[in-house]
Amino acid sequence: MSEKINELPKSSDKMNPEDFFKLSDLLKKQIWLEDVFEALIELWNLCEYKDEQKLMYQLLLNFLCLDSRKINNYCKDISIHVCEEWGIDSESTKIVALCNEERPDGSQFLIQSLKNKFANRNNWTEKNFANNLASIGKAAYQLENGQNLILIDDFIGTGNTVERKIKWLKSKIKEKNRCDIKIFLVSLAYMQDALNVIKSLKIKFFSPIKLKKGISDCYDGEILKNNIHNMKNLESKLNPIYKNWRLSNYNFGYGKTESLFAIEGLNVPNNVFPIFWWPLLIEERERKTILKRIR
Amino acid sequence: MLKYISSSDKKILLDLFTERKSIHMYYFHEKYLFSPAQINRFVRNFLEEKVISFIDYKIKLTEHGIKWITRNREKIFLSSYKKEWKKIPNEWLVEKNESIDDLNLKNNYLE
Repeated sequence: MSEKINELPKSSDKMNPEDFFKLSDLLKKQIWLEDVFEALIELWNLCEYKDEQKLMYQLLLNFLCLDSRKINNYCKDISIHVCEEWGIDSESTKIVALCNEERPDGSQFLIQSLKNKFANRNNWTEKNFANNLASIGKAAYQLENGQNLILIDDFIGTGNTVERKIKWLKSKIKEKNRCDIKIFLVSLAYMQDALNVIKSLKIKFFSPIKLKKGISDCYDGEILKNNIHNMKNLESKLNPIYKNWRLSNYNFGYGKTESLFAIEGLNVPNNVFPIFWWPLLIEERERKTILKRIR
Repeated sequence: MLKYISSSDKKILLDLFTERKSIHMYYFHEKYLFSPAQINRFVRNFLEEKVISFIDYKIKLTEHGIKWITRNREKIFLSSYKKEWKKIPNEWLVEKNESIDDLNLKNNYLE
């Protein structure tokens, strides 16, 4: 077991130089943490042992939190890939957010950011974009023979949601006797472990960001074992229930995906380690979190 | 140049301007209890504007920074500096005992 540490004072108190410089270095790389500094201190203080703090530090250093500028650039990459690599033109093409019928989500945010990247390309118009997969699948007139359907999501964690939605869409296409509809899949980021599920769908896929598991793919041997132990210890401090969500479904992120990914200002994916977003400590004590997810 | 300078920025700038030497960033935490987030934001913003240099956690004003502060010291440090948004245009002012009705506002604006 590593050396036990004293609780770090809040920023209203004096920190020891070691913590001060550690947090300063972290903030230099992850500017978005400035805005949630109090939550960062709470997280830091939740770590009882040096090794737990070391793990938190490493995970946060490796965390990818996209701001609007980065999203803009990745959306440009996506538009280039669609038009130049796949050679898809605007005729008979729909780019569709993988959103559920009634609830807004990250795919709608992405399609909104993406559509103006097609503005200077021949004949692309707003009609080429749709913000809801359900409306495309349900309305017969939306599905045309020979059509290209490019499905868009912001993040693919396990791949199960994408798989379920694409299977549903294929069944709708079959139901409506449409033929020769090509389905493509695009996401802003994906977990490399989801690739097998995506490949099994036998559709063309593009994503500019591939992510590894935050612990299992980044450490091995004794360090891996210790870090898994440390994360389990930290997660044991979270309340097992939050508004009908069971923490046991989200340990190490939903589907044990160990994701370190978020889009600034949006709902954090449930695949992210809950230590970063689960809002209750044991005995239902509220805590400030560096990332947020609405239930 | 910067549009908004926070009160913590002002204190750090004043110390740097008075001392005219490299000051360790931890000093500002010890002295004022500024958080690493506040100090990092200061460093990022003012480094971008070339007001400071930042080497080995030490902050120092550049020549440009000294000139900039000298030129803008009233705006930066004096809280009594006149705020443009607080000025009321003359045509909106009324005599102390004048009532709204006297101004014939009804005719001009409310019909």
